[in-house]
Amino acid sequence: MSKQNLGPGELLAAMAGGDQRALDALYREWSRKVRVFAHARLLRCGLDADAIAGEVTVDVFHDLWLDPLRYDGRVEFASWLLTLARNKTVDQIRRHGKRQAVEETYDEDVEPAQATDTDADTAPDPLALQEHAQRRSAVQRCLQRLRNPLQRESLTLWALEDLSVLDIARIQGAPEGTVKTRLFHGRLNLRQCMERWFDQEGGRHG
Amino acid sequence: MDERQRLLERLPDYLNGHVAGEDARRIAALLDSDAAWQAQAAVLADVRAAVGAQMAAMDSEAGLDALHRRIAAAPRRSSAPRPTPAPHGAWWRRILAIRLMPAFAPAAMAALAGICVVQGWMLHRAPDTGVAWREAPFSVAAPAANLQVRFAAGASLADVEDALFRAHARIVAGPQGGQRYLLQADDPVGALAQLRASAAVVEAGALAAGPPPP
Repeated sequence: MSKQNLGPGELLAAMAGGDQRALDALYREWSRKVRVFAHARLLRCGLDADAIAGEVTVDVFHDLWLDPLRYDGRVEFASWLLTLARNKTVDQIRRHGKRQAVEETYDEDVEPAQATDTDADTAPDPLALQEHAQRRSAVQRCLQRLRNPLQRESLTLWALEDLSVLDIARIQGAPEGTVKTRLFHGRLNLRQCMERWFDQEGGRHG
Repeated sequence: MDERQRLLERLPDYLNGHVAGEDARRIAALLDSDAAWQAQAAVLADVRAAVGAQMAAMDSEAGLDALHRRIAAAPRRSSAPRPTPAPHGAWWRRILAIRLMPAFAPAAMAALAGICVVQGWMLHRAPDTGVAWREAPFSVAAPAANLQVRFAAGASLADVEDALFRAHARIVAGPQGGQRYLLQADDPVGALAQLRASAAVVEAGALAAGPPPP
């Protein structure tokens, strides 16, 4: 049977037996989710999000290789893996400075400041994009510009793996109600950002 | 909390398939009929599409080589230990790192046992003078003494000399327990009388005769 057809539990069991091909299969299946999640967490921290997200991803799977039986199946593998990734990402942020700690004290209920003209200037040229791609690009950029990293993290987790609010709460170590609030304000801020972005782009090109 | 707001907070769960029953039916109805709800769902759909696109743009093998390098550099704990490279530096490190020691172990043990046997034999043959002297009877330890005396605490050296001169005796050992001295006198009886008459002597007595010298 191909390794690609095996579930995480079976791949981890094979890894425990020393099968490195199982690790490769697990990596191919899950590394992008880990990387995207870590990247979302690292944005606006004043760090090289791409590079550190890559380090975190390798680190997570190295840990899995060293001790595959750490996962005991009590929670969904996705939740467990993303929790591990989150812990490592937060460790990296702490190691590089305190900026994230400042952002974490950001009030959940405070709306983010209006986007600046500078933000709009760095947006891609909409003429070169189709409307669909234009919208997706706007969402990505607005998601990256969410000032509250926990809102961005909650939305990314929700979109990554069809996780429930309860799963996201477990990963973030927060009450379920807090995660609901983060998701609610996150999408509100995202929507406002997108509206501003389209207004500016429409005014410029319309 | 407003019922509508409560349902709106459940929208992410609904869209991910985690809401069932009455709540699911009501959310579905709102999504069909309410433009505001449709806009909320559209934002979440946009987020999902954007994250999906971000993931799709990534290479699933990016970092895999780095992971392999790390695994090669730091094998898991359960793996067999790699042979230690030959140490460089201090001479004692090189001695500690000698891996042929087990081969010499039988010879080393035999040599050690031989040394112990020879040492034991030599100890057995050697005269135990220390033990002999410690266990010797008092009279044997001082075979020449035949008197025992205790001088007065305030007696001067001249007084002691005078008493010994008069008794024709000499000190052969002392001071011992109770500030006693052992004396040898040619005429023990006469010497004892002289000593007892001296003001420098508090106590004087004869010693029992020891065994004949070997």
